[in-house]
Order: sequence, then structure tokens, then C-alpha cells
Amino acid sequence: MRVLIVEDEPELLRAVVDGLQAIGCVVDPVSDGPSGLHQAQHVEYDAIVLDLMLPGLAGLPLLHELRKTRATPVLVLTARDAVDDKVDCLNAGADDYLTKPFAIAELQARVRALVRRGSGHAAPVLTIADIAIDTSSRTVQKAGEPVELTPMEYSLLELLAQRRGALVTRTTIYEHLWNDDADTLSNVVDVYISTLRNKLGREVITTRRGQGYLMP
Amino acid sequence: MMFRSIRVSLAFWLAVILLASIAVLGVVLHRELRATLYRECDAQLENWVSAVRAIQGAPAAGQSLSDRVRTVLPEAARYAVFGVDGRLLAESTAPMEWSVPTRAATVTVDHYRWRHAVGGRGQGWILVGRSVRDENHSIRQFLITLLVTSSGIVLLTCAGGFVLASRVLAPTKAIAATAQRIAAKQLDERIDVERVPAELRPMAVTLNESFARIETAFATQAAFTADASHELRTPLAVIVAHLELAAMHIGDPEDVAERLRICQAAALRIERIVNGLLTLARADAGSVSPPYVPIELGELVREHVQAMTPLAAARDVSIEVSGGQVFVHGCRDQLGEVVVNLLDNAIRYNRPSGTVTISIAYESQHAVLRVADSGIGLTDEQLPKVFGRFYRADASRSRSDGSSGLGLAIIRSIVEQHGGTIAVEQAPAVEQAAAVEQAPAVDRATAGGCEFVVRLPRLTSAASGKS
Repeated sequence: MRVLIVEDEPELLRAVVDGLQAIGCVVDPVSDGPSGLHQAQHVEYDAIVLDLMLPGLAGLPLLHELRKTRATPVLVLTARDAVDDKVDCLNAGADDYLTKPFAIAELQARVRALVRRGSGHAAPVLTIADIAIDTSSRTVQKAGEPVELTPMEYSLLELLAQRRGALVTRTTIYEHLWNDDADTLSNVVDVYISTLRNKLGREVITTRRGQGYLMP
Repeated sequence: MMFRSIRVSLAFWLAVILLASIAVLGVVLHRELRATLYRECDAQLENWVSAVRAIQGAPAAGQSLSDRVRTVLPEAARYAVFGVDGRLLAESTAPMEWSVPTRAATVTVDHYRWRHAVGGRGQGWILVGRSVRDENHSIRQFLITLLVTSSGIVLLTCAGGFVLASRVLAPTKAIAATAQRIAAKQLDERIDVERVPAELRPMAVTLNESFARIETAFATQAAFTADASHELRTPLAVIVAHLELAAMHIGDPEDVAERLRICQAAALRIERIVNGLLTLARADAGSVSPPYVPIELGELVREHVQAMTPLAAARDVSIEVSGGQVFVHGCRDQLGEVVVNLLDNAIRYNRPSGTVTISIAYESQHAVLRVADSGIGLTDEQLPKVFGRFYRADASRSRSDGSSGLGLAIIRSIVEQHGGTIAVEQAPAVEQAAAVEQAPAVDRATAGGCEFVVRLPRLTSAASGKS
């Protein structure tokens, strides 16, 4: 899960980053409106956490602009809790909102729910053949037996599972699992695919040579 | 007499005035009517006297005086004729009570009008009279009619006054209804002055002005509350989030320590905001200010400049102070806070290797403190807003820079409490530069910043004598 966080308050930004990294999100922290919009328009995020009071470009106009091109799920953080303010931000295209102060656990749950909805799966547990992927606890079972996965392996599996039946290109995998700062080797995806196959079985992931991967 | 209701009061006073008028009219008419009627009666009586005198003067043709009087006086007449010696010479047949006249007079006794007159030559007294029962009856009838009619008129007037007052008051009722609606929730509604009668227009206009002021005050209050809530929620969110994260990372003492440090900073920020809000709330409530003493502004400023020099040095800003020997009457701590806040502001928003120029001098009746910086200045649009609570000229400046957003608002509140004013202008350097270079647009990034001007009433000998 790759998430963009736009928040100008450095300490709050840090808290949100830490909180989302703890649930396996790959995060891009940004602290002003214009760069937030630029990032959101040019990267395919699984979700965006957006503060309303931003320097340069406020949250609502940013959201309005973003919605012209992208349908990325957006969670708004706001200090204003009047009904009108909530209605305004939902009407501007936000999918959810959290009023400050908020619990990290709630932020994590809401972001997970947004990503789930965004991928078209409402159920927190994805089931493919005899494999069950619990997206809330980030655990995997095969034939009822727990399977130990590294965080990166899990994230790759969840990404493929959410797009089950569809081709997932290597670019998409890179975009969702690593942020721009990450220094990744070109064959790192192949390595994770092969370890996943070893742990869950060869037939779980199909390779389309030169294009990408898919879960049948 | 006071009535709670204008309508009742109006009806009452109309009735009182009308009753008084009718009473006066009744008395006058009654006297006039009676006089007229009695005058006729008196003329008749005089005729009778003349007739009797004529008989007395004429030679008697064998007839007794009584017989002759009877022939000249009508049936209704009552009379008595006396000789010089007071002897009764003739008398009407109908019974009558009479007394011997002693002087000429006309009197009314028990519905009878009597004329006492001196008889003909060498004769005694003549007494003639007749009933004025008919006249008195007429007068009474007239009075009764007057009473009944005027009662009717008074009742009608009362009702009319009541209705009239209701109609006159109808517009005020409409105004009251509108005012009530506005007060209840529709603060943006106004009384339609065009539809209000001319006499009530000033009231409606005044009410509208009051509503406008209330609406502005409400909007300001609402904006302030929203701002205060936002300013407090942000550091609160930092604390809540980092405490939760610290609990998650409890096994990592370094991480926990770092998060606690963040929480402490946020808590201190909340403290600063709350203290600022309390200061302003006290000023708003107009609570008692500490005793004022004579203060020399130059000394006060130099004292605080010395304390602020390390901060200025850290930002590579130099401070220049000129002038002094300027006395004002005030609270040392509060005016010190003004100086510190202005200095802090001038240093904080200055450019590197910039200057803060402070001057203290008398200008006519004021002690004037000027604090100018060489920062980026403010736009004309920003200038009047800087004293607003939680106003931030530069939205991109992070709120975590430590300022509460209340500093200038507190300064203004203190200065106003001291009977002074504070204003902010573009620093004079900017205007001069613009004039010299004939440049229509001044580049704010390189030109001088802004100048805060505090004007306080100068200390007079009377004020110093009091303290």
C-alpha cells in the first residue's frame, strides 16, 4: 500500500507517517499544498491522507483539482468539526475524514478500509483457493495453516490478491511497494515472487513474460 | 397616572379631556339657558307690576282693588298688593305663602319666581310671582340629555382612542416581530425601513444598526472560536498521536523519549495559547488593571533590548535604539510585554543581517514608540489584519515556530488599556526608496519591512502627582 500524506505540521506528519508505516504502508510525506497535488496527480497511490489547512494550496481546492483526473481514496484530517465543514469536505470529493485529535489506531483502520474499498474488496479477508489473506492483521493462512511472510512479501501478495485476475505490471508493483526514495534493484520483484511461490505454491502466481504477474 | 398599555392610557386621557370639556360646556350652557328663561319670566313679572301700578294710579270705578287686579292679571299670576301702612289690599285667590316685601328684589323660592316692587305713587309694595316649574323642567331635561349624549360620546371616544392607538402601534408590533425573529436566529435579516412610518424610522434604523453590530460580533466570535479550536486541536493531535505511538514502541526507550519530547513541546505550545487567551479574556472583561506608575520608556526599551540581544544575534539581526527621556503612566510588566512582543516580532520576521530600528520620542501630546524591521513587510491587505487573533500573515510559515498567533492581539489590548493606540505601517524606508527611484512597484523582498507605532498618552504633572 502506497500512501501520500499531506500535512504541514511536522510533528503530526511524523506521527501519521509512523502510524501508517506500522501497518505496512509505503508513505510519501509532503508538507505543502502544491507539492501534495503534484505527487497525487503523478503517482498512483492507494490512498491519500490530506490535511485541510495547508500552505500554498488548501486541502479543499487541492481535492477539487485532484478529482478532475484521479479517483484515489482520500482521507481528510481536519481540526474543524462543524457539520458544515464535514459536509464540505465530503462534497469536495473526500471519501472519509478524521477530526483532530485522532487515535492512530483509528487512522490505521480508516486508511485500510479506504484501500480495501478502493480495490473493490469490502471484506477484510481475501480468499484465493486455499489461501486466506487477512488484511487487518496482515497474516496469511494456507489450508488453515499460518504462513510466515516478511512485510514486503505480504505487501506484494496483498497487492496481487486485490487485483486478482488482472495483470499487474512491474511498474505498478514498484509504485505501490516502494516510494521514490527507495533504492531498489531491478530484480527485487522477481526475488519476492519466487519466495512467495516457495511458501504458497508455484501455481499461486502466474508470470506473463515481459509484462508482469497475475493471480489466477 | 401611569398605565402599562399605551392604548388604555390614550383612551383614558381622551375620556378625561372630553369629560372636562363637556362639564365646562354643561355648566356654561346651563347658566345661559336658565338666565334666558328667567329673563322672559322677569319681563312678564315686570309687566304685571306695571299693570298693577296703572290700576293703583287710575280712579276706581266702584270696583274693589282685588277685582280690578284680577282683570289685568292672568289666571296663573300670584300677587299681593300692600298699602303704605303695610296693610294687605288685594291678594290672588290661589294659595300662596308670602312675606311682606321690605326692599325691591326678584327671588326664586321653591319653583316660584317673585318680584318685589314698590307700588304706584304713594302706594306700598306690590308682590307678583308665578311658577317657573316649566322652565326648571326644561333645564333639567336639557341637563339629562347632555349627560346621556356625552356619556355616549365619551364611550365612543374611548373605543376610538383604543382602536386608533392599536392602528398607530401596529407598525411597532411588526418591527418587534421582525426584531424577535432576528434575535432568535436570522441574524442577517433586517427591518424593512421603507415600510416603516416616518416617525418610527429612526427607531428601525437604530435597531438595524444594532443588529449589524451584533451580527459582526457574532461572526467575529464564531471565527475566533473556530480559530482557537483549530490552534489548540493541532498540538493536541500531536500529543494524542505520539503518546499512542510511544505506547506501541514502549520497548524502544530512545523512540519513546523522542516522542515524549515532541509531546512536551506541543503541550508548551498549548500552554502559550491558553495563557494568551486568558490574557485577552481578562482584558476583554475589563478587569482591574494593576496600579500605574510613571515609567521612562527609553529605559524600559533598553532593558528589554539587552535581554533580547542573544536571540537577535542568533538570527544575525542588529538592534538600534534612539531617543528616550519619554515618560508615560502605566504598568511596567504590561508595557514590558508590549516591548518584548514587538521586538520578538521584529526579529522573527526580519531578514538575515537585517536591522530593528527603535525610536522613542514625544510627538505632540503622545509618547511614541516606533519599532521598524527590515523584513519582507506586509501587503496593504495584510496591514489592518495583523492585530487579529490567530492571524498569520504568512500561511506557509509553520505554526510550530512557537508563536501563539496572539502576540500582536495582546499588544493592542495592553496599549488600548493604557489609553493609547497602535498602528502598523510600511516602514518609511520603503516609501522613500519608491519616491527616489520613481518605481511604481517596490520589491518587498529587498525593501524595508513594516513599522509598528505605539502612541501612549504622555505623562502629565497631574498624573505624576497622583501617583
